[in-house]
Amino acid sequence: MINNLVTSEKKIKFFRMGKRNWRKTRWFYLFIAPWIFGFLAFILAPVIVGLLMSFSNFTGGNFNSLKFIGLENYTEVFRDFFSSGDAWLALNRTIVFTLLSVFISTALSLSIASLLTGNIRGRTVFRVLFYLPAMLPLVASIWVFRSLLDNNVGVLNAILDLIVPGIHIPWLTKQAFLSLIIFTAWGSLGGAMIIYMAGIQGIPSELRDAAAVDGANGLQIFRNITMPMISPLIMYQSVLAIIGGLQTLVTPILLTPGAGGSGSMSISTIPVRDNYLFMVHVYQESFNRLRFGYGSALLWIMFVFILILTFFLIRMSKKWVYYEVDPDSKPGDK
Amino acid sequence: MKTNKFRRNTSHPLTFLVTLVFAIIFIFPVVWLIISSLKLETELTRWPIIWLPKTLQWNNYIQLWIDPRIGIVKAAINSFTLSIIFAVPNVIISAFGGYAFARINAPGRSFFLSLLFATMLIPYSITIIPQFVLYSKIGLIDNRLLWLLWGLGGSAYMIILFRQFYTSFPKELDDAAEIDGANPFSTFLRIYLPNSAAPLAITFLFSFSSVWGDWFSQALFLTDKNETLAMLLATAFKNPMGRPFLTQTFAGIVVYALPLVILYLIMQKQIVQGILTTGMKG
Repeated sequence: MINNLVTSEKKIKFFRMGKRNWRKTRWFYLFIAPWIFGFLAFILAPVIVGLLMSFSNFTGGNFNSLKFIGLENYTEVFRDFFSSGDAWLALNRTIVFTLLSVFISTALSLSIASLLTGNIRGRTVFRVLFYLPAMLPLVASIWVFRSLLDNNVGVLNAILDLIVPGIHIPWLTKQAFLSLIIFTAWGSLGGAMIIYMAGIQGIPSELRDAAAVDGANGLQIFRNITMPMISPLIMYQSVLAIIGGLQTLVTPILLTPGAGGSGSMSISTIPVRDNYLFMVHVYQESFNRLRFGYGSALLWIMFVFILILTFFLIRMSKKWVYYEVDPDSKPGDK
Repeated sequence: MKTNKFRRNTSHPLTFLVTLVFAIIFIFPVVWLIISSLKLETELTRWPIIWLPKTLQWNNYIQLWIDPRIGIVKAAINSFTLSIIFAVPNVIISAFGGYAFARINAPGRSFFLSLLFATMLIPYSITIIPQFVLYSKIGLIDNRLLWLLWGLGGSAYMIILFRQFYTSFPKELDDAAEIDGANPFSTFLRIYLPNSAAPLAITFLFSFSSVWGDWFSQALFLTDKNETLAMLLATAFKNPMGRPFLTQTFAGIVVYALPLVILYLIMQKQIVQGILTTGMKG
């Protein structure tokens, strides 16, 4: 009842909008029109087309024999899941990869952020150094790591050889999964570190000082004050990192291309089996085997999975995360 | 500064040492990239490994530019063109959007603001295959115009960054401009835009580097005709016998990464601020 009243009042306001307000409204929509155009053309339309494709037998060119095949693509995906086919394997690899890499890069960036927020000498220089890898173009970092991790003449093997002479680990083939995780952690550390640094600096210093007076050591302060205070940030960062991790496509292709890896690189290069992630499977099905319908069904399953996960993580976070900071304000505001 | 008395306890010499070791490990790949680009081909592919080149092979960098088989000039021009035609409209459109969301009170604003935030949850990868299918029908494949169109659509992250920035402007500014008879468009052009150097610079850098450093959409939507640096460098250069030419590839990588690194070093303060405002990582 009250709600109705409120909305009708709003409606009245809307219709009685003065000439001045009307002009303003026009300007507002004029200014955001390009973004709305972008949203319709580059997000909404593709999402709808993708959904339609997933219910069709589209193969990229069969516009004459295009037909609606209902849930067939989806049932095929689930049949594949239950018979442990490629999609199932890819999904498994992706989940393990995402969890491991998000965990490692969170742990690393948190520790470095807390090291750098202490009273350390040369903090600015350190921050610049740690963020630099995140600025490099992907193809550049890929080449560096191909050379560091090379099976035959790689630097990592050379260093290990100094410790254990004669050791020779095939990082880019047999240990490709580990290499992918190392690479991802290295590349994603910088951004997360900066966000965590700001979060830690935003904690009122009285809290840590009080704990220090009471005789808490650095580790205890970190666990009992820093961690709980920046837990919303950790939450937010991890959700973003998980969503990004699940969509990993390019790094396995470029870092660990399978047989014939020295040939030219394209979207359809198949990475080694261990790094055959879900998105790689989607692109293989769509562009190499021209099964756009099936590929879209795979994509939509991942999309829904991501949405559910996001929703679930946000809900869960309310239970165990300490929220005091206004989520809309910058992390450093407090 | 009385708090420092206690904080000093947490910064042990050991802490410094640990940080230093971490930093060396993290920056080593970048150092290794530069060293590799200055080696002889034989120094790069030999085992046991040769750590440092006997003489620095600056010639690698010269060859890179003058060897017509490599085609780096054309690729660099292409990369630059794509980055510019994307970044310039993207920044301007996003500034307009951010201003509208921050300063113009209109019915429907909160709805579109929620929509803005919601679009950030939609994974990029879900839209890209259908985009490919759609554009192949209307001739946008292998067409650089596509980047201009993407740029004209603005970017949710950047609109939010501008909105955050413009929200802090005093309300009197708008009132004064309105009394003078200025419409929102001229208010924006004359008052807001000239005072937005910092967010303009940072969004331009993010926009520019997001295209410059991207391999995926270029490899998907373009062919060799419009080859960019990312596409060219993803595969090792080859000599006429078809053997890879790694040292020059590494020199190419250094040249490719350098603009972003220089921009980063100049603007690192603003970059940090930009990351904190949007949660975006460059």
